[in-house]
Amino acid sequence: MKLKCFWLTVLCIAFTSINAQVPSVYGIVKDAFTGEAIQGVVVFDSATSGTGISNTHGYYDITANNGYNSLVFTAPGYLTAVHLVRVFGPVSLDIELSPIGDEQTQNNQANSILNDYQIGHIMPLSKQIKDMPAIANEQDPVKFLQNLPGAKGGMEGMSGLYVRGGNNDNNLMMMDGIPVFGSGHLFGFLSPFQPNSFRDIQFYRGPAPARYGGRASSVTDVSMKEGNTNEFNGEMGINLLDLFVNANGPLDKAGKTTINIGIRKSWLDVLTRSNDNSTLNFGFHDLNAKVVFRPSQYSKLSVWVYNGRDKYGFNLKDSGFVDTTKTFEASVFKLQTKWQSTITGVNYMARINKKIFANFIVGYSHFKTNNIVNLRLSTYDSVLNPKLNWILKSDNQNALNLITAKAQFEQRISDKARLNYGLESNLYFLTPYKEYYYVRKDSFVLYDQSGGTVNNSSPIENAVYGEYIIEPVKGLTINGGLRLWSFIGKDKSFFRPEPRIFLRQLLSNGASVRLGFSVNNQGVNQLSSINLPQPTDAWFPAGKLIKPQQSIQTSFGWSKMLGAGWGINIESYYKRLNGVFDVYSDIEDQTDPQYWVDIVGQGKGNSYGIETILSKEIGPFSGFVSYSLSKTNRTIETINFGNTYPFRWDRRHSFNSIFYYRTSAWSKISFGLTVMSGSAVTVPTSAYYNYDNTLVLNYSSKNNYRLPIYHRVDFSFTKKSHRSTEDLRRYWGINIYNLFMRNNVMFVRVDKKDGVNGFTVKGISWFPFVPSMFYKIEF
Amino acid sequence: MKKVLNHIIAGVAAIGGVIFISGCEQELDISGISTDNLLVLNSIINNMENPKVKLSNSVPVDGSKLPQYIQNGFVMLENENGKKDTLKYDFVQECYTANVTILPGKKYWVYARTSKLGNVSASTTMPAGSNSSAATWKDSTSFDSFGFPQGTITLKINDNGTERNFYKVSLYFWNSTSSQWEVLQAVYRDEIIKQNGYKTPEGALVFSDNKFNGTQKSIDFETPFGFTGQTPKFKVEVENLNQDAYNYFNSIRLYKNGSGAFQEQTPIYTNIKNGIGIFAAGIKQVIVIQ
Repeated sequence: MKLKCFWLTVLCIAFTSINAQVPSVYGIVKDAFTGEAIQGVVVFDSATSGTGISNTHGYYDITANNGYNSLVFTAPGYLTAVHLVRVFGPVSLDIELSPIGDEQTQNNQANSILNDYQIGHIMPLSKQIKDMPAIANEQDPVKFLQNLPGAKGGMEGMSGLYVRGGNNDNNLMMMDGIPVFGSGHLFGFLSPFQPNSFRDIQFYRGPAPARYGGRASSVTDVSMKEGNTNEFNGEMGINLLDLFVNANGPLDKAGKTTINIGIRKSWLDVLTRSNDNSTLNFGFHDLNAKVVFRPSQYSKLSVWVYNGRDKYGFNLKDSGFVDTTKTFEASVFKLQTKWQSTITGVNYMARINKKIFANFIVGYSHFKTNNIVNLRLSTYDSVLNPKLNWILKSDNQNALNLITAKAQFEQRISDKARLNYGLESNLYFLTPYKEYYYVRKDSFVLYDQSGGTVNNSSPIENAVYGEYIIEPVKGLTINGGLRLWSFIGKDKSFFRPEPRIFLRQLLSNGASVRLGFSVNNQGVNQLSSINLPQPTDAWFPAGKLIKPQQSIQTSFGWSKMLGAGWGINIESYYKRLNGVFDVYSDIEDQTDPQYWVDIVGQGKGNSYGIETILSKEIGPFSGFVSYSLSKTNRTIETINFGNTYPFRWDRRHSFNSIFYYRTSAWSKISFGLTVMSGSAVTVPTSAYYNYDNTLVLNYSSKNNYRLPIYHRVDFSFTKKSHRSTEDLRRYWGINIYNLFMRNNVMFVRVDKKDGVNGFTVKGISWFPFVPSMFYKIEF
Repeated sequence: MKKVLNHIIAGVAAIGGVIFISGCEQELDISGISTDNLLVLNSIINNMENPKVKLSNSVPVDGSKLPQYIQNGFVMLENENGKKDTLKYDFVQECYTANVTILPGKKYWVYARTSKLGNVSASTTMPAGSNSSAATWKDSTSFDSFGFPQGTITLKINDNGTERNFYKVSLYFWNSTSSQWEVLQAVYRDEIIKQNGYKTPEGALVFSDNKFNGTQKSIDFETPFGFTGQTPKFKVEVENLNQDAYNYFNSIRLYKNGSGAFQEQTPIYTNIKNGIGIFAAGIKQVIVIQ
């Protein structure tokens, strides 16, 4: 025992002494006003040309030369800071960066589209999202992403996301590192991310680093606010649809413990709630709460919870509702669709030694949908049996529970190399369908049965990953990664390696070229209509009959900082999708084993295109213009007779722009312009007699018709009230969605002509013109 | 005050609801992708009857024309041994037909052409054999909603578990007045068949063995009061369909669901090259109950 202790001591001393000899600079980068950690800050050492990037804890670590080193800290949305530091071994240097105000005109700042080496990665600024024009003044982060190149939103006004030809369920949506399922309120109108409660968003529309996995298309990693370490602040307000409050601040004087709470609640249902026995349910709420405890400078313990609920339907009690034939009378009639999502997690981050930083996450994500019918009625059948009392109840539901655990490590290997590695395990409990029926006639229970649990399963998804990031020569950064992905299903297991490569070469004129390659696999899938995915859609696992979805993607790009604060990024990509889904039939019986096998077609797809974004993030006038030229196809044996067809949301041209203009110290306006090619829908091309001699329509092929061009202008005006004080700032404003009342067709309907043979094909459009107002207070 | 507020809120909600749900409609011009004037071929061949083929044309969706059955076309049937039979138009049956025996397990090709609409072709394979079935009828097994007694036809199908099987069941009764078989619109209460079955306009029931693969499936059909106390004669036709036929009937079922915000239209299955329609096959078994 003594010998063991001796050798351990020797090893520790040796390790410490080795580290002590390596000159390096490390520390935390924080927001100068809120004291919150800043993620994604690029640290550049002009002497060694070495770079480092701050992690989600704001921690950076960079090797330097002994002597004086000039370190440059750049982050989108913050003023660039330069620090001269004397290095004589490991040196601690905490940095505070000041946010760039609207009045700032310094144009040589970082830009979110080209700040780091990762191709296809964008970290939008929170002010870009909060100031964007939005329908019903709901500045939804996911709806902002829909404006970026490569991302499309699907049905008008909804928070769907189709990235580079992927389906909606191919996006890995994470809240503080834990996957979000069944995301959204109001049947997909709003995403679960409160615009006032998030700190930053990492959006990977192209290849994502090896630490991310489990979905085939994109990654949206949302970090929620940790809370101001200096003072309490927040905001509250009212929109067309909801009331919201956010408050965050320190719980102790030193700011070691902070809290952030955000609540959003629809208000129409609250005010219309009546005292009588009839209740109309249509509402939602969500709540975010996060407590962060910092036991030391380089360690942090976070605990958070999110809960979102939606409820729609009605509940009539003692209504005396009698049908017209007076054969029955209902005393209770409840019809309700509701769903909820709960996410909770614990995160511990710590600098283990001078080279290794560790991050541990344990979390739980829950999602459940219920369709409830509750009916109590009396029937009047005949003279002999004048009254029968019935109770009829049903509850159909689907659910997903996930327990996830992650261990992630970042290690500095040398002045030019670092290693990120880790492992994660996800244990799912999937209930794609479960039903309960109860029928009672007077005192006799006629039916009391549950079903559908045959499809319950508990697949396990594991992954081990490593990313080796090296700068072999000046200006060249390579991130070579490998993720070993496994999915252990009910009747089949899968093991697939996922190589990930990123490469960036800085060019002499301030430009850079980037390359990315990735393979991604997906084991859990959502059974959604491609037209309009719903938060209520069930999730099901891959197995013997359904293979995991996979994407193989290559991306190449060029970017450059232009003059006057503008930056440009151009990317081309090719993405191959294997095992991609399309739903082609309706559900016959959800109690069938693997009922989804008969209604989804699985095949191949590809997507390719060129995307560009021109962006300016500083100054009174800022904004971006994005354009994509792309094509996305599907080839599925059971759909379209096996022939290749265009993806439902394939749009050849897509142009999006949002511009923000600060007209004075008291007001600002923003404009959004969207112009896109029409999406692809299926329409009849002729009529004919079928085998039964009935006149039917011939849909020659799937998605055979292009809808008219889509265009829309949105406008937003925000005014700061003159009654505002420094501690209490009041704002009001208006938003107009679809200013020019353009009827953008989203889907089609075929109607039979009245009185004559023949059919008409009608295009249906939503939200022709939606004005809204808001009022909010910042404190 | 609260009433006024409620009215305002209800108004806002109503306007929002109308905007969201009804939206706006506009007629779309689809003339650019019209595929009218295609040759339409429809035929489901079986082992008990001579093959029958119907030819017609497709017309524009807008109803400016109606499809016409074609009598002056050329139709040829070929089996896998290379034997070719030309089908002649039969004005009584209003279709092309010929005296050809269709054999189980064999592949058949059909070719058709007209001078205006060009050539079409298709192939299909007969199922290898039929699964044995039996049917019985019992009088006065239950009462209808008016309290009158009704009977039950019980059909038993021994399903072959080694392959997917698709069935089409048609019920007839003998009308002694007109001396011919007439379609019996029997009521079935079988939950499994109700869930995955499809009733054709002629009253036949199409379903797969998805839920009872490899077992004996018993289906009860209720016969109406009119047969009670009589000595009726029933005919039960059980047809083992091939995959083409089932795909066709199933697509008809899905086609009828239409399209909307949540789902896209399912096209009707067709396997006709250069045209539209269906060429499929089935093995028929007839059970007469007296």
